[in-house]
Order: sequence, then structure tokens, then C-alpha cells
Amino acid sequence: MMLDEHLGYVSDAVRLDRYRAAISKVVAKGDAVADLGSGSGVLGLLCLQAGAGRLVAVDDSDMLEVARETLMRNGYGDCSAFIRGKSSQIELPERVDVVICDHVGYFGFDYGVVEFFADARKRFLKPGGTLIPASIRLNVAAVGAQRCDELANGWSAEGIPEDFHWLRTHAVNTKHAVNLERGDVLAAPAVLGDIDLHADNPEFFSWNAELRIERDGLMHGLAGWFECELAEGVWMTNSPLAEAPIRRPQAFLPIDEAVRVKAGDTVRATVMARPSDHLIAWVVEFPASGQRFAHSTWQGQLLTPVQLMQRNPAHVPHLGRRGQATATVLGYCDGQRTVAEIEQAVLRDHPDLFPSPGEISGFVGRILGREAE
Amino acid sequence: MKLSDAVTIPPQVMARTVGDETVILDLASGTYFGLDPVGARIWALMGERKTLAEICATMLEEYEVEREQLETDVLRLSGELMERGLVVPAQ
Repeated sequence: MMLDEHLGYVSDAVRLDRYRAAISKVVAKGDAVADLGSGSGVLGLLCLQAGAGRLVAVDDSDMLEVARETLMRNGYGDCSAFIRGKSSQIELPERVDVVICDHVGYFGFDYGVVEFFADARKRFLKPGGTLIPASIRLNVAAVGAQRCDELANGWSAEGIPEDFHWLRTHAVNTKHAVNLERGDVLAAPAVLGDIDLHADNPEFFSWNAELRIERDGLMHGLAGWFECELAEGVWMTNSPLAEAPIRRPQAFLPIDEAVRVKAGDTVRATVMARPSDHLIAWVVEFPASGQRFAHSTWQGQLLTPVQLMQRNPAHVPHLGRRGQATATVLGYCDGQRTVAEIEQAVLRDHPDLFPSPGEISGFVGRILGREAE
Repeated sequence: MKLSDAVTIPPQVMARTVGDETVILDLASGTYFGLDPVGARIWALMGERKTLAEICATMLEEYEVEREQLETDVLRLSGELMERGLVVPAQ
């Protein structure tokens, strides 16, 4: 699955062309570059091919090994370093001239780039260094399409057992990925806002836009997409209206009830976001009818009462069964015992940790694999 | 605050209830605030733009509670919510 996703990124010729153009403008011979959330390492590879002298690839997934192997096979092993982890939790061996990161998501702000770069500017980038992308322009549009209707109302559609219809509430409070076509857009997009990634940005954004409906139709919600300025004059977009977009879905933010709109109508959109917490809220108002819809991904999260209670700052947490089991395993990880000895100790001293010895052994292996070095 | 006051909930503030648990999120500050079931009922009535006196009147019909105690509790909670920016005075 992970390779499938990255095949999509690497095989996107427009995306690679845009990044190649930006890198050729920004990266100078001998530059040190950090590729954050490097995935397959393709952007770092482009930087090295353009003359970068040193590369640090940072990724929190197994894709880091793909990047390592790929760069080694291409003769860049000696000038590349690989760090596994979230960029906000690691240190780089040196400050770099360029930081590159493609985590712009579907909407532009929804996949980590804003907080990654806020941290990278302070800790990774040399004074006068460059970020790729440099800025993100957010666009919003009114959309109506069968594919949007299915995303919003699929859980209450004909054929779905009524027992599951309650899930529609979650679906209309979710940011969906959607592949829109030009004909799905009911109004010319409005610029919601610009994020200058070289500047200090707030942790909370609130943007407003007024949309002028251009043709009659049934509106199912808002769509959002980005235009990234990768380097001066080099832009990359996933707009369904663009001549040459990259191959990436747009964000779809549903409204609770499809609204029939006419050419000339005005729709007011407010989008609020807290990117670091992956939270988005949106309000859509129809002045002509007085209708108003307010949604948020906070409402869309599938939470148990316990999970909700944990958000209450006054709540006193206790280790659950899984937490106790994790603490037990890590308690044996003392820098002396081998993996086999830890497994034996857990099986001997805590035979009731899980219902079967096989599950205990598997759990020990997973915890050590994730938490130990 | 006075009982004749009403409050409104800003658009960046939202509550979520699952079972008996209600938690308010202020998206602007990223902070959460927990409510017990009675507080959650007061919050719901605040969302209907009722004055605090109207909220008390409604709740007196729903709960076995002394008016004085209820008014004190409603005023205290609304004051705390106001202090945290989770509600603002109604225009």
C-alpha cells in the first residue's frame, strides 16, 4: 500500500517537472539540503542531481529505507544521511541551505508543511536559506457533483441498512479527498488566503470568501485546493480548473443538506483551521435563503466517551490494559537483556498479559520494534 | 454578568457530546474544556441565545434544584466560559 501511494507521487510527471524547475532555480552547487517527509527520496534525488553537495532525508516511515537504497544505487550514498522520525523530534547534523517538503496535502495546509517549516526555519535553515515551497495560495469553490453527494450522504444512501445511517453525521463533518472535474465547480474559485512559509504564521487560521455562483445547480459543499509557489515564478497546483495540474485530489468539505443555487447567487464561506491539530471547521451561508451550515472535523471524529473525556484537561488519566502491558515490556528493556530474554521474562512474570503466549510474544516484538533501539 | 444577560458562542468554539461526556473545543487557542451533564444542558441553552434568567427558568422545570442555587451555578459557569473566551456577550 505504501509503495502504491509513492508510485503515484513518483509517476506524476507534472509534479516532478515543477519541482525540477524550482530546484534548478534554488539549489546551488554544493548546497546542503534537508528533505522533510522524504518518502521515496525523489525530491532529495532531484536536489543532488541539480548539484546539491549534501542531503539529509527525514521520514517517519519505512519509506526512508527506500530513499536510502535509491540514493545509494544512484551513487549518492556518501553525501546523504537518513534520519528516521518526525522532523520536529529530530536534530540535523548541520544547518542547511534549502529545506524541501511536499506535505501540502489536498488543501495546502492539511498535511503538515506549515508546522514542519515553522520548526525547520528556526532549527534547520541557515540564515538566508530557502524553503521549497515558499508560499501556498488556498482556493475555495462551491461544488456540486454526484461524487460529492456520495461522500456526504453515502452512509444514508439507498441500500445501506438503516442501522448505519447515523454515520452520515460523521461523513458531513469530514474533510474528504475528491477528484473533481471542471464541470463540478459551480462558481469561480475565490482565494481564501496566502500562507507565506518564510514568515511566522499563527497556529490558528480563519479565512472568509464570498463565492458568486455562475450556473444553476445543486451545491453539495466547498472544495479546496492549493497553488504552491515552489520557487519564484514556479507554481504547482491541484486545481481541477488548471491546464496542467499535478495528480492529486482536492479537499471536499460537505454541507448537511444540498442546496439548489442559481447563477448570480452569493455564498459566503468561512474556513477555520488549526493545522497542527489536524482540525478544520467550515461555515457556509446562503444570504438569499438564510440557510447556514456549520461543520468541523472535530464533530466528525469517531470518539468513545473515554477518548472524549481524555480531551478534558481536568481528567486524571490512568494506564489502560494496553498501556500497562507496554510499560511492563519496556520495564524489562534495561540495556542488558536480549530480545529473547525480555520475551521470556514477560511470559514468566506476566503470563496473563494477553490470552495466549503467542500474542504476548508478538506484542513484545511489536513494542520493542517501535520503542527500543 | 447578570441574569438578564445572554451570551453567544463564537464560530471557532464547538462542543462535542459522546454519552455523558461533553467537551468544548476552542479552535483558536486549541484548548479543551469539560462540562458535566448539567453544564452541558446550560451550554445547549446558551446556544439558543436565551438569557441566563430564561436558562434558569427552563432548567427549573427540568431539574429538582433550588432557584438560588441554580442561578448561582449558571452565573458562575457563564462567567468562567466568558473568561475563557468560550462565550461572548450577545449583541
